[in-house]
Parts: sequence; C-alpha cells; structure tokens
Amino acid sequence: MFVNPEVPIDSLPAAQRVEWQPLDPGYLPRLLVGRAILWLAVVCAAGVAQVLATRFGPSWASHWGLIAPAWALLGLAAAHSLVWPFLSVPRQGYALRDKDILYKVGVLWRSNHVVPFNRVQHAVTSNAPLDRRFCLASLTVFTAGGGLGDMVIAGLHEEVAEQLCAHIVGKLRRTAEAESVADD
Amino acid sequence: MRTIEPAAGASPADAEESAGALGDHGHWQRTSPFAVLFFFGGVVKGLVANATQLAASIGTLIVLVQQGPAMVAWGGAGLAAWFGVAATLRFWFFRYSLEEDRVRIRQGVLKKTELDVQFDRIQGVHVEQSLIFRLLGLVTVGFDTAGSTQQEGKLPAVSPGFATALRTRIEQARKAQPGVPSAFGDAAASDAGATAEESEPLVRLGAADMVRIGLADRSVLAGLAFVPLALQAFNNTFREWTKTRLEHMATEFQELDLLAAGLVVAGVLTLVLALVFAVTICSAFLRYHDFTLFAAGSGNVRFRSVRGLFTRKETAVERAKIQQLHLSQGLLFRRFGRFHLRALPAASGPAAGPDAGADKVLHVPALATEAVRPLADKVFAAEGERLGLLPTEGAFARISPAYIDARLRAVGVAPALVAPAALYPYFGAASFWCLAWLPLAALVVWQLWRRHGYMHTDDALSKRGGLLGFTIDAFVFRKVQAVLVRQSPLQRRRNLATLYVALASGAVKVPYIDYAAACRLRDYMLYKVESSRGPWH
Repeated sequence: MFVNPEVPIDSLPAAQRVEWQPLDPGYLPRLLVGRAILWLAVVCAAGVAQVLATRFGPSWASHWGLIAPAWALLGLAAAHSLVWPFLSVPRQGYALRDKDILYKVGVLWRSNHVVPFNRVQHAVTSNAPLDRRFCLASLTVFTAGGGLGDMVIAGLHEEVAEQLCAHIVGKLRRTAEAESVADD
Repeated sequence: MRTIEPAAGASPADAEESAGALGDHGHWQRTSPFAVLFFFGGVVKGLVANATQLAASIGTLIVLVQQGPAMVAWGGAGLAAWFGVAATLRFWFFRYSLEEDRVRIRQGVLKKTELDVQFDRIQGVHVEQSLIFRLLGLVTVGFDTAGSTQQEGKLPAVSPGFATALRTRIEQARKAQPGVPSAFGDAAASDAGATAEESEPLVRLGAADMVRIGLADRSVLAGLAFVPLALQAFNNTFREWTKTRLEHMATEFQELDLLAAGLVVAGVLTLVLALVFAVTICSAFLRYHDFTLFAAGSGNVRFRSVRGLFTRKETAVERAKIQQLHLSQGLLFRRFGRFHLRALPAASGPAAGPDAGADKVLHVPALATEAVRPLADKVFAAEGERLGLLPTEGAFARISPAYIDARLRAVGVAPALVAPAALYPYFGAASFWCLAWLPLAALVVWQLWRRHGYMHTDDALSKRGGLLGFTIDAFVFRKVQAVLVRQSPLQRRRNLATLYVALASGAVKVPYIDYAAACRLRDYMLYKVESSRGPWH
C-alpha cells in the first residue's frame, strides 16, 4: 500500500550542524611556498621592468613619485597574498554524509556548498607538482549544474582525496543500480 | 548485425518502414548533394562569426571598390568560387553512419573530427528547413545531448521521412535499454506532426502577436542607437545631395512657426521609429511566423514547436528534460498581457552563455497570461500545483530591506562619492552633479527590491525579479544539482543569507533572505533530491 507520511521540517538533518573536517595541515605551507615563488617571480619581473624603463624609457618612467607607490602597491598585494592563507585555510572544511558532501569556505564572504551524491556526474582528483611535494591533492566533484554546481576541495591529503573519490564513485554506481532496479 | 526489435507501441510495420527510410546502417553514407547549400551557408556564417576575417573582408572590399566596379565583380566572383569550393570539400568529406545504438558523423577537410552519439544520450531531435530546402523537399536534422550547450551533430539535406524514421530508431533504441526513459513520449513512434493528440495545439501565435513581439523587441533600442551612425554614413555618401536638401529644408524650417517646427521634428522622429519597428516586426515574422506549440502524450509530455516564415524550425523537448521555466515580461508585454517563456533543458542557462543551447530551448515568444498556468501544469504536472508563476499571483515573500542598504552602498554611495573626487580637478564644482546619481540609484535599487520575491510549495520554488518588468524562475526541487548558502559580512550581522540553487540549466539566486529560512530551504531541497528515486532528466 502506498503511504505518504508527512515529514516534519525540523527533523531534517541540518547541513550547518555537521562535524567539519579540516584540510590537511600541509596545505598552509604549500600555499605559502607557492605564493612566495609567484611573488618572487613578479618582483624579479618588476625589477627588470624598472631597470629597463630607467635606462631606455621616458624620463617620467624613472620618477620616484611613480615608482615608490607602484612598489608599495606591489608590497601590499604580496603581503595580503601571503597573510590571507593564515585566515582562510582554518575556515575551510569538508564533511561527508551518507547522501551528500559538504564544503565550507570563506573569510568575509562565507559559503556552505552541498552536492548530493545522486546528482554527481563524476569526480576527479588532481595534483600539481608542488602539491605532490606536500602529498596533497584536489578533489573536484562535477554535477550537471556546472559552474556553481561543481565543488572543488583543494588541500586534501593524497590518500584522503583518493578515498573520497573512490567513495563518491562507489556511491554513483550504487545509485545508478538502484535507479535501474526501480525502473525495472 | 543485431536486428532492432520494435518498441512497445511501435508496430513491426513501423520498424520496417523506419529501416527502409534510413537505408543501410553501419555503412558510411553521404547525404544529398544539396547539402552543399548547407555547407555554403556554414562557410558564410563562419566568416561572419569571425570578426577578424570579416574586418579583412571589408578592408578588401573597400580596396576593390576604390579600384572600380570591374574589380568588385571579379572579387565577388572569386569569393563565391572560394565559398563554393570550401562547401563542396566539406560536403565531400562529410559522412555519417547509422548503427543500431548510435549515429557517427565524420567530417573535416584538414582537421578531421568524428562524432559518436549514442541514441540513449540524445535529449532531442530538432528539424530545420530553410527556404531552399523547403523547395527541394529536404530538412536538416540536429541532435543534442544533456552535456552539450549546442546541438551536438547535424545531418543536412535529408528527407523528412528520414528524419521521422531516425526519430523512431532513436526511440526504439532507448526503449530497448532498461532504466532509460522514453525520449519522445508516447508520440515518438508515430509521425511527429500527425498524432491525434497533437492536432490540438497548445499555443498558436497569430499576426497580432508578431506585431507585439516586434514592438517589444529590445533590439529596437540598439536600432535607435545606430540611427545617428546610419545618418552619418548616409551623409558621408551623399554629402552634396543632403547638403542641398538640408539647406533648402533649413530655409523652409526657419519660416515655420514653433508649432509647425515641432510637428516636423515629431514627424521625423515618428518616421524613424516606424522604420525601426517595421524592421523588428518583419524580423518577428521571419522568426516566429505561424508559431505553434504542440504537447503530446499524457505522462512524459513531449513538447514540439514549429516556427519561421522562410526557414521553418522545429524544436522538440520532452517534459522530463526541462529543468526550469523562465518567464520574462517587459513594460510593453505587461501592457499586452504577454510573457516570453523559456523552458530550459540541461546546459542551456545563462551560465552557458546567452545564446548557448538556443536551439535546445523551447521558447514561446508571446504567451498570453491566461495560457501560462495550463502550460506550466503540463511542464511541472502535480509538482507545480499552487506554485506562483505570475508576478501578481501567489504569496511571494519579499526579501530583506537590507538588500537596499547593501546594493545602495555598492552601486550608489561609492560611485557618487568617488566620481566627484576624481573629476573635481578637471571639472571643478560641476563634478558635484555626480551626486545626482545617488537618488537615481536609490530609486533603481528600491524598485529592484520591490520586484524581488520568492515562494515555494512542498515540491517547487518560484523566484521573482526584474526592474521595470518582471522575471520569474520556477523549478522543482527534485531537479536541483547542488545548493549553496552564502553570507557577506553585512548579511552575517543581520542574520541573512543568499541562497544559490544550481540546476542543470543554470543557477537561481534568492538574495537576502533570513539565514534560518535559507538553511531550512537548503535542507528541505536536499531531502527532496536525496529521497527522489526518479531520474532528474
């Protein structure tokens, strides 16, 4: 017999009350090293540009009234880029429930993203050379929603990322089998 | 090779007819040689779409014009020959192969591509018939799948019987697969345009609707913007003639009294407006003449629209594939009591670009207000009951007034303060006129806030927006792909949040609602998605 009991809204599991898992402790140093390398390259390029501008450029290009603020802006941007991970990384986290995966991110603008497993198209792990040096990987969960629907969790330990990916793919397979049986 | 079993509902005679119309399957075949026309059009469209090539072509044309008419004729002939050769080569290297469960298309002259589309992935089959193909009795068939934003493959210059047979073949292959829903509903096994259920169209647009569409066309504004440029170009070309005429008119104009001068100016403006509207109305006739929307089947309803004066376009989408309904109504459409409705399937929303998947979207360009509910009932069925679909119906909850505060700070106060400071050295006290932006921005933001609203039932959500007109986005919870709750610092202080709902057709944003309400909605949507056992497409 078909039954359709009413579901009390308050009894639904609340996504904000999950126990968040922190990212891998190696993620913060990895971000700092990556950004330090990037800013080193930027500073070198800016230094070369200044030397060239002083030697071959117009006279206003070597005026300290222009150069000093430019270097100050560059320094501020570099400092922000290097300090920000100390604030952002501790505020990121993920949680795995039986039927979905959650990810929280953001310092000022805080987001809480949930993707149900039965809407996942596929999941991918990836790691750049620097990630491999720190034994880290990113997990990307793709939905048909694309863009906003996709979830990227960076800063997971390689093994954790692989386990999560395998878990999600397994869930996908079981969901597909269940739907197939239901259709039959 | 395995024989395809006829699907339930399709007679063996249908299957035989289908096999006969499709010819040998599993072999690479060419379409009709008239497909050269299709490829010719493709070469021209490709040239127009590529701005660099177009600029080079215009530059060449200018050089040729300067050389004299003979060079223009030679240049034109050379270009036509080039297009002809390119189209013939494309036709020559275009092959398709129909197999029992897939269609393969091989094409490309230098860069070879081979497309392999499985029938069970196909979401819809679209049939297009240009004026030339109408005269030749041919059509172009296009397929699309859930993951693509554009039509994935096209078979040009095939017979309408072939198109129908291909549709039947795809349906048979899909039905043969367990767990795959019917792609074309109950009507698929029969001729697309001849079922008894389709004999009664759901929506039909007449000449008056074409006029309404033309008048409400936003390209009118773009057209008006081009009027000065067009006048300038005209003046440059016929400088002497216009100079004489204008001098003559100016002399006469000076002799007119104020009322008569005003009438002349109003007459000229009316003439320009009439010309622009004539163009947009003609464009509406070209695109939507004899627009008819059919709905066939009782369970998984299949919608089919046909439209167009010269090029007849047919779009077919089944109910299960529709992810979201988007209704929009500008000022004129409000006056006319009409809505522009778009039923968005997967990968067709704004996220994929304004024109992405345009061929996949089922749209009704001028839907009467009283026809919105019956059509939505067919799309959402029982899940859409009590859902507010018209801006004035249903209890749309307003978003928080904090929206006004946040938006006004971003688009009102900040520019109004920065602009005078930045412009003062150049314009002096006149730069303080920038402060006039503040009340205007306040008015716009207040109006946006008034328009924003949302309402939901147990199964679906409807979100209202707009500025002068209205937009409505409606979807059922079962189709949600992901949910995101975001809080800015201001929202955190006031315990508010913005809810983003990712659908396969794009995202719907409900800004500045109570944080607890956003969380409850998110949890409820997740419950509906995670407890749903049916396919979302």
